[in-house]
Amino acid sequence: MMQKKTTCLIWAWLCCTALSAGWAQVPEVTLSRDSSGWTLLRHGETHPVLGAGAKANFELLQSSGSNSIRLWSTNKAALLDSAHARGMSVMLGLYLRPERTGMDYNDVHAVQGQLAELKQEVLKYKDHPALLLWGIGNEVDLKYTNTRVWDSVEALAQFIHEVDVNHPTSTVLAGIDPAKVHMVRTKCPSVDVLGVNAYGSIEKLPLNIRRFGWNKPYLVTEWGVNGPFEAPRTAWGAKKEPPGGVKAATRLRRFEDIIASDSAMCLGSYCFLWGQKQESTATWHGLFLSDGQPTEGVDAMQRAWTGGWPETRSPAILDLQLNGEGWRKDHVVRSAEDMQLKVNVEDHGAEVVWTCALFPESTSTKTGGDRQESLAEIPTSFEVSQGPVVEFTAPAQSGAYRVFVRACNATDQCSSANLPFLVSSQKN
Amino acid sequence: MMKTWLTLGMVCVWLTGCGSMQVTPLYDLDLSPTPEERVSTYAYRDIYLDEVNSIMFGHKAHPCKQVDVVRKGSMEGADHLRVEWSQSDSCRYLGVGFPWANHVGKNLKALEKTAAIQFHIKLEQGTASKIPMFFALIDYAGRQATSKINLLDVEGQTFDDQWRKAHIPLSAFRAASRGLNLENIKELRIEFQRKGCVHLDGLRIVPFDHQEEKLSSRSRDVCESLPMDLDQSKLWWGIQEEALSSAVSWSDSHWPPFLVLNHDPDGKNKEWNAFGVALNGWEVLDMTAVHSHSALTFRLEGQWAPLGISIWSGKGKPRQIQTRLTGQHCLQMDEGVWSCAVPIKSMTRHEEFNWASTREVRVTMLRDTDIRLHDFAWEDYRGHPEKVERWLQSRQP
Repeated sequence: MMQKKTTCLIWAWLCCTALSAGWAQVPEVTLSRDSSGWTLLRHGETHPVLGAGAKANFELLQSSGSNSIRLWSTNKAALLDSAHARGMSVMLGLYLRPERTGMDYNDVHAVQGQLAELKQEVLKYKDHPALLLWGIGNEVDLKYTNTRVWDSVEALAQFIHEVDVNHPTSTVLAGIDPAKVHMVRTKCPSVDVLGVNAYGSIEKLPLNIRRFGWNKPYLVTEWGVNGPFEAPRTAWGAKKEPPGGVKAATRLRRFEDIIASDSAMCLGSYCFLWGQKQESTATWHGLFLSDGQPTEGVDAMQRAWTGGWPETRSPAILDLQLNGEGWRKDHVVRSAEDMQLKVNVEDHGAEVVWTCALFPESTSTKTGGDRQESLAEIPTSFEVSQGPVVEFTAPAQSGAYRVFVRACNATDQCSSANLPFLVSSQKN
Repeated sequence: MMKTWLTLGMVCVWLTGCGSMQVTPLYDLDLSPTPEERVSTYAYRDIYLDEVNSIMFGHKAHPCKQVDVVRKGSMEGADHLRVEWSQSDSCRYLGVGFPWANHVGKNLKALEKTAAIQFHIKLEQGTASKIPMFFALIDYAGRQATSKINLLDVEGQTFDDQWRKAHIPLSAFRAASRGLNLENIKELRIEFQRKGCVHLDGLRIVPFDHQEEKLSSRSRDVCESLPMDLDQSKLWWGIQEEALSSAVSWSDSHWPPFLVLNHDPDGKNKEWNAFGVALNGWEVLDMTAVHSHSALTFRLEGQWAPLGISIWSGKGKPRQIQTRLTGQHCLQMDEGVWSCAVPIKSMTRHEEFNWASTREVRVTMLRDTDIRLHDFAWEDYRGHPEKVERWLQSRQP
């Protein structure tokens, strides 16, 4: 009798232990839906994604109010630790080779090899405490023709659900259209969240998400100012980049009016890019300059994430004129012509230091954020006077060029702007 | 009698025997070499065996890369290679090269489908499912083709501190599509990215069973004849389910169902001013054979309103062609009833459009609209593109 009682007690204890240790455990990250819409919960608490595509400057990112970073692949997985050390979460990318880089999704061996590799990556990182969700592929839909790529996305999403109940899955599209939404919806039912990289197209993103029939939550996985691929061009094909101050204002408006306004379906966003990269120019997408200085874009993101501005504001270049004509115009000049660049800057009452540089125009035709090489500067003498006005002499050699100006304050916060021009012997 | 039976029996045996006789290919023996023979007779199969017997470049002291010849713990031969690298902006290209067989031009063409580059590889520590290194074959014209290691071709499908045999099938370089001349190969290069450390040994060409399985490319769907009904059975977007408050919805009160377009530019659903239909389940449809003598046709009922009609392609430029529906596209049938046709040839830039990749028809409501759209279809059109009314009249009973 005594022995029976003991056995029962042991069983009861075992059951309780199992329940508390495993069965009753809440997944780390979940999606919940109520009448007001979708919410992302992390450890049971609402976790609106206030994120950035970031590989450095984590301290400033955290103090600016961000709570998450996006990594495009597991190649820099050490950054999971950096994020975790600051209490930030990570959207971790599983890099599926896009068709445009030569991957053939009809090649069974290549596809299976890629899946085998990525499944091991899932097993390796699934228990990392910083992990928020998986990003399966980035822009695999860009210029693609073979819809079998969605089978790989689904295979990985299914695998993740089998081995990792703690984190949702997503795939990231290069903008949306009805066809892409249909493909993900029907071919990838194991994808929980749609990631969308949207630059100019962010303006209608909440509407199009609904019109095209997506009925799960979404994340804006890359956003910022209109990309070089959407920019107006000069007659000789150079892209016109808005000045830094204009870009920062655009970022803030897009966050407040579009991302934060769609709380029903949008789980948050990752701004692009908390760092610097060469994409047509060295300053297009980066919130930092190539030497590491933060720009007014960083201030705008702090305002977006926290509702407040930083104590010391970065200067912001609002307009740029070459020989009296604005940055939106085409500028054609004579060989060795004297040039005058007039800058309108909001300096927030601080003194700014100006630097200028001249570069040949980029001829890169790469797309989808594929890596572009930085260009070599052309040694040029610039004279900066009150106004501020920058004077310099155009190159003697005909061709397409781009002049950059940069204004930095005493705390090394900077704004930059640039303007393309053509040196032509044909100019009257 | 006995003799007769015996003879008959022998004839039977002879006939049966003839019928079951095999043709012996006395002179048709397949004498072509097996893959193993082809590789074993290939003179230049050893790429790197050890320092003494092989040629290598890219091993000199470098700020971002260190290549050592290690004499302990080799998998085969007297030594093996240890490469440690760390890529930075100042050193983008990191690699080592093997112009094996004393720089002669190597002809790998005959081996392409049956051989692989084999090597032994191990990490210094830890495990990994990928190593940021690529293999490149370079021909004497300077053209190159690269391939990475497919994890399925690595022994145990992982990298760790144990020697593991790995293969790169020669076909994985996809020489033809990259313009590489496999008949005149100069060297093999191994390129390194990001950061890492590996040990390599015994690089050689070996027979290899290529696991080549290619799914056939999805055949292009071709539209060979019209009409095509653009009805509720197709995939639509921009249609709201709640009919009462929506801008665009299906009405099931009649058969076949029709579309109710109810757009108020100042109303709650003002942004829902467009909708579209997939012609082929969102895959592209080749309309090359039929588009030039065709039109989009439909019947409108209600208050006349201009509509934007566009056709979208999955690729090419222009990605869309469009027109604005005017009275000239329609024939009034009754009070508030119009029969309409939009001939494809009346749409600007229709000649430049990629008809092989047609995907969608889209409708945009350009101002306040209260109209029913019936019998939407893509039909044959045998009339003048500018004289739509005449063609519509000719269709009347």
